[in-house]
Amino acid sequence: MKCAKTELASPYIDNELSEKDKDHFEAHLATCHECGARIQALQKARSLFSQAERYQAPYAFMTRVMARAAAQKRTKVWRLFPTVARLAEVAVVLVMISVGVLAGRFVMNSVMQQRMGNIASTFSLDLFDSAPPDSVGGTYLAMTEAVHEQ
Amino acid sequence: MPDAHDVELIIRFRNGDQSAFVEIVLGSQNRIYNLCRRMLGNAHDAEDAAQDVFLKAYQALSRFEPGASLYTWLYRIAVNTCIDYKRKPFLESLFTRSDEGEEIMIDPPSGLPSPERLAESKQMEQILQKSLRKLSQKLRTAIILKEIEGLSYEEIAEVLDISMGTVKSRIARAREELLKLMGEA
Repeated sequence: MKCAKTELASPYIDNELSEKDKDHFEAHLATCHECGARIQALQKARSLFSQAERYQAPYAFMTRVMARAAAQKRTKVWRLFPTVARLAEVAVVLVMISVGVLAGRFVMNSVMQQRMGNIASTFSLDLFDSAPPDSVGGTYLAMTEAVHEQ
Repeated sequence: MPDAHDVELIIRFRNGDQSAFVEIVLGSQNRIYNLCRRMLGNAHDAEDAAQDVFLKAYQALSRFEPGASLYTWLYRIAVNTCIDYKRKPFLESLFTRSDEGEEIMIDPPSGLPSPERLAESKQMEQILQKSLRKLSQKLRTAIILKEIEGLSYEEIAEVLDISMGTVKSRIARAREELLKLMGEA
């Protein structure tokens, strides 16, 4: 039957047991052949790692990382450009439409005022302002006066 | 616990000092590359993944909470990157297979040891890598962080976002598996 304390062997070799548990386990090791053998086996497994090569990052690794980071940053800014350009386009069109509408209203107001004046003068009758002689009303008045005289 | 120098680097980076990030890369590139190399098993994938780790860190560093350890944060990114990493198809041609069907990458030697020493260390290295490959990803990650990167149980728990009890259990199980593979169990 497997000793219940063998599960402490792994954290023991990692020095991850509390002081109290470590003392108890060391006292147990003195009398338990199974746990002692487990410790030896784990130390052997550990030795495989102690001889493991520590790989170094390849030459110019940092340079390549920074180059990719800079390229990513540029791509991010460039990706925003179409959105900014589109917004600018829309803004310009809206401004042009607004200017057109305002200018049109201004021109229309001026023209209408002038036309209304012309219409009033063209169609004026003796009940309102005196009709200019070359207007329709003036001509009509001239004709009616001529008839009266006759 | 955050290192005062790390906090200074992060603050400098957030203020637009790119040289701070260069220092971060130079200070951790070997550790991160080594971890990726062990988890992925070959130099090309390891370099690719390690670069991805630092690019992710570059993008996320402005949001990093200085209260945490910079290295455990980088390790966490590295572990997740390696777990999600998919080898690019054209790199398949750079691999050869051993008689047992194991993929082997031919790497240039890092130093100039004697031929006997080189042969012995290569053999040990192959045994180790072969054994690690046969572990599940969870067990492999835990034992690499412990035995190769030298992290404490607490640091491993922080990196993998698991409890200390789970760390203890995974490392113990990984060692059991390795002993079985070595015929020692």
